[in-house]
Amino acid sequence: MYKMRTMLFCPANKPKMYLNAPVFQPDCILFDLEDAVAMTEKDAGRDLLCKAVETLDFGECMVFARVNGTGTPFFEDDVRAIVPSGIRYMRLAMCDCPDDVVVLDQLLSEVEKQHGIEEGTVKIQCSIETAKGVLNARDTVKASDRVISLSFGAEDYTNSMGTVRTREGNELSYARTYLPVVAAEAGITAVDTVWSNYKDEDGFAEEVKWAKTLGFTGKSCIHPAQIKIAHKLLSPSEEEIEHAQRIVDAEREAAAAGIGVFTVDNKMVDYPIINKARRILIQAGRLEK
Amino acid sequence: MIGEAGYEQSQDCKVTVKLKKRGKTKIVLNSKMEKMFGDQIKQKAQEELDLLGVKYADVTIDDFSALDFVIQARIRTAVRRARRAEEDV
Repeated sequence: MYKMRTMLFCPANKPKMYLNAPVFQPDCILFDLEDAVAMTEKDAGRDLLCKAVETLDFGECMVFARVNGTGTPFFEDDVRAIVPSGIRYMRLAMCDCPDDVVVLDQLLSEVEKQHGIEEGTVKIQCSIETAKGVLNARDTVKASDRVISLSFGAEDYTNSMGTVRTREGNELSYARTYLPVVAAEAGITAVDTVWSNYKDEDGFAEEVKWAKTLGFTGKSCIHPAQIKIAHKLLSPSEEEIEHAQRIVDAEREAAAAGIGVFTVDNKMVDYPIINKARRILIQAGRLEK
Repeated sequence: MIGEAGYEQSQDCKVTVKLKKRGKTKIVLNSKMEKMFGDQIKQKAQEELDLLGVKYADVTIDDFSALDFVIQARIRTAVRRARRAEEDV
């Protein structure tokens, strides 16, 4: 699974963002060609993104483009322009059903072939942003092998539900509970929605903790200040790492001694616990996959 | 026909391209960086025009400390818009 603890939103038509965003070292940068770019500036945003990707070195950051939805007149131009420039990760906005992914998948195959890029190179993140999208998510993420992740978009989702977003987020409960399950079943990462009030860092931190509890492994961010907070909360703590290491060490010793069941910190350890410990060590970079 | 792109904002530039049928390509640069980087900026602009197959044009770049890739991207957009305006006539 891909490490996507943070995805920093940047409008694709703002030159400053291309230089500033990598400085904050998010796991992913998401250059937005959709909502953040005015209808009359879509071409300019696309050109700027292409030139930036051709020119700049983003280091270890995964560079995503959020392309306009399949039902818009901008979708095809977005894809045809940005793939040859070097974009390898795309977030598909308003991913409502498997057909949306299929349309993108087929267009990507055509563009890859046209430019001598190995088929399947460009990966997709499905952006689930409506009631229909949530209910279809299980089939949608399986519509192409390119899908490596799903993200939740709460603003459009609440709009589709005829409700409003609150600080507590109760209105998001169903989608927030369901989507990480969909992601886990498909073996892909789940990235939670943005926290719009960037000055409310406590609220952001609480939301990240809640999202982690539900099974999200990443958070969309709209402000650089949110990145450090999310990285800290979405990474295993030193305490968790130490405990996981003790379990993995004990398992090795038990196996060498021919012992099947053993205890760590006075608790019985069995396979689910060993697997969780391994997952934590892999997340922390202390164990090879 | 004229095409414009970009903004009068820090690290951006505003580019105006007027396509012509004949004559020469003229690039006018207004930039506080002209003394240091003027030649380089004009060269990058010319490279982009060549890439786009533009032979005759008046190009004005109002620069606000934009990097090369920004200037080239704005030229690309402005040329496309000028060509589109030409087609629409």
